[in-house]
Amino acid sequence: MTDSTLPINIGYWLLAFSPIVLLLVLLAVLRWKAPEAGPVGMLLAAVVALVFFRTPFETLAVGVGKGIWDAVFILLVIWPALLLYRVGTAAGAFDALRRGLSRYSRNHVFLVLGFGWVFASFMQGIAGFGAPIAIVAPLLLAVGVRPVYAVAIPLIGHAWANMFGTLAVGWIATLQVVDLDDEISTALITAVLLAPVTLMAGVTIAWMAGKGRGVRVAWPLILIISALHAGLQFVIMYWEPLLSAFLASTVALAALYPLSRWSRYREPARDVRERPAMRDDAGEGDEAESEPTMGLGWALLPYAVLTLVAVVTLAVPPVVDLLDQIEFGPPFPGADTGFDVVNEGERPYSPIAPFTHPGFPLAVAVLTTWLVYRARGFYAARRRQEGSQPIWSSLATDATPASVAILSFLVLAAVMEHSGQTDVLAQGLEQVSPPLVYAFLANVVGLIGAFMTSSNTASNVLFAQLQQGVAAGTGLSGNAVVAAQSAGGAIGNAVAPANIVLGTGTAGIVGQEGAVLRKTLPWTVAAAVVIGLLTLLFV
Amino acid sequence: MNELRWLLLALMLFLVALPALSAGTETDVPPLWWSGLALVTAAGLIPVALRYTPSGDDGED
Repeated sequence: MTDSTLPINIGYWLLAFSPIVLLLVLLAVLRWKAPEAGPVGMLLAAVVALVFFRTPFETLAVGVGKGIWDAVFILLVIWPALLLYRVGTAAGAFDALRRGLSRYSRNHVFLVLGFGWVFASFMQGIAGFGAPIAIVAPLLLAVGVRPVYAVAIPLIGHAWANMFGTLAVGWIATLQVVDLDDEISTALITAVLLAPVTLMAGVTIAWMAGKGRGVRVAWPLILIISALHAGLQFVIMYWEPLLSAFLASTVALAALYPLSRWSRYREPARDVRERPAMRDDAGEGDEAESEPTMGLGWALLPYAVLTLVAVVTLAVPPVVDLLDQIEFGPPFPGADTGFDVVNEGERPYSPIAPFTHPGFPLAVAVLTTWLVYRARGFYAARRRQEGSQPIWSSLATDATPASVAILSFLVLAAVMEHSGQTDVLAQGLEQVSPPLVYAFLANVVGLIGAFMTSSNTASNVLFAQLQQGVAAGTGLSGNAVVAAQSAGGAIGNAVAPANIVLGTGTAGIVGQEGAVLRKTLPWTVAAAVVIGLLTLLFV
Repeated sequence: MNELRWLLLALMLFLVALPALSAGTETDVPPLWWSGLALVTAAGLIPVALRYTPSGDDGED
């Protein structure tokens, strides 16, 4: 990467930035649907690569192929997640969930924070790769949240857990691309930079649920959960970074039960009158309706199965070692450009291990749920109440546009990487920034990487080495700059179009990605500023 | 064909392109990877074309 002859100047920087700008303008300003905007960005990235970045067609072919394979990895999460939603809907599980939970808490602020922040973080701790968004959005719909907010809330709520979530795959990947002089310091600085992110998520989600009064109701909950998320992640980091987010988010989830017994969170928040995130017809669970088809226990079955299978297949080392032996991926040769940007050949490229892939627990949960619900007659009961509930045609309606969007986003990212556009973006920031300004902006580089790839891990693989090199050249602390890169990558997931599409797919609002982006972008910018300021303390 | 089916076709084109791109570049068979690039280009143009095509069918199942 560092041996390339890429021209680093404002013209090339703007050219490299143009596909991202186009994507943002189409989605957030012109309000195009993601399946329409994504391919336009993808085609622009390819044209820029061919015309300006001296990218041979064969190198473009390698980049496009790798992008499609990267997208397949995500699609294997979204398809079973969407199916789980449809299987649950057709059996009346979400209706039962909403009314069952109202026995424990009828406080909408508590429920929105519980699902959108605490449960989403827990799911990120084990599954990741967008699964928290795809799983939590329908749950929020079930408790009366408006669809756009149902997607935006888990995007914000799970962001802090991206770096050390999914059993710290982002951290493992970072250690593979950079040699840190002090690994534990870097991990601890990253944990410190992520601490305000979870606090900001709690406050923002409470604000969405009930403006200022919502925050006033929620503040003890926000402080307790933030302390558990950030504090435990920091402490566990000394012992085992790989489990830090998982254990912290698990304890936070467990803390919801005693909190739900507190009258403050058990009873409706009646004095919270402004409720931007809630539907107008969202009641407090005391409306007269026909009996749900199942009890709360049956409605929670898929999540129990999901959690159990995920923990066994993703967190128990001997099981993981055994299951990881089966893996496959397409081979790709090395490819370079006229600017000497070299991409090594990989055979296989980024192999998928199907039994430790995060889609596997989802698939097991779908199959188990379908069999059990069918055996207990929940589908028949729901049909009698609501008429026919098609599963497969609904799945196609949800999954197809979302899949096209994700494919085009990931191809865009791979083309930018293989042509050197990604390098120009990062090196351009490096060249114009004095050291302290660079330290402030280091997290923005990680953010851009995550925006492009929807992955903290991919962002760090792309940029961590470069960031460390800049730190060494400018006298900044490499540990702190890599930590800022990681924290930026975490919050970048809240605005990544591929992640947004995961949510709009399961919330049934494909096409409203721009509306979701307008909700998550201000939070992400604010979080980037806070991380940037905090980074200055460590460089 | 309704919009959903066109998008399903775009999805299939993306996925069919993958083995062509991998095998074509790995074994250095240009017609194969060129066909992969053509499939991806077609897949990318379908949703854009749909945006500017008057829809006569909402595609409700």
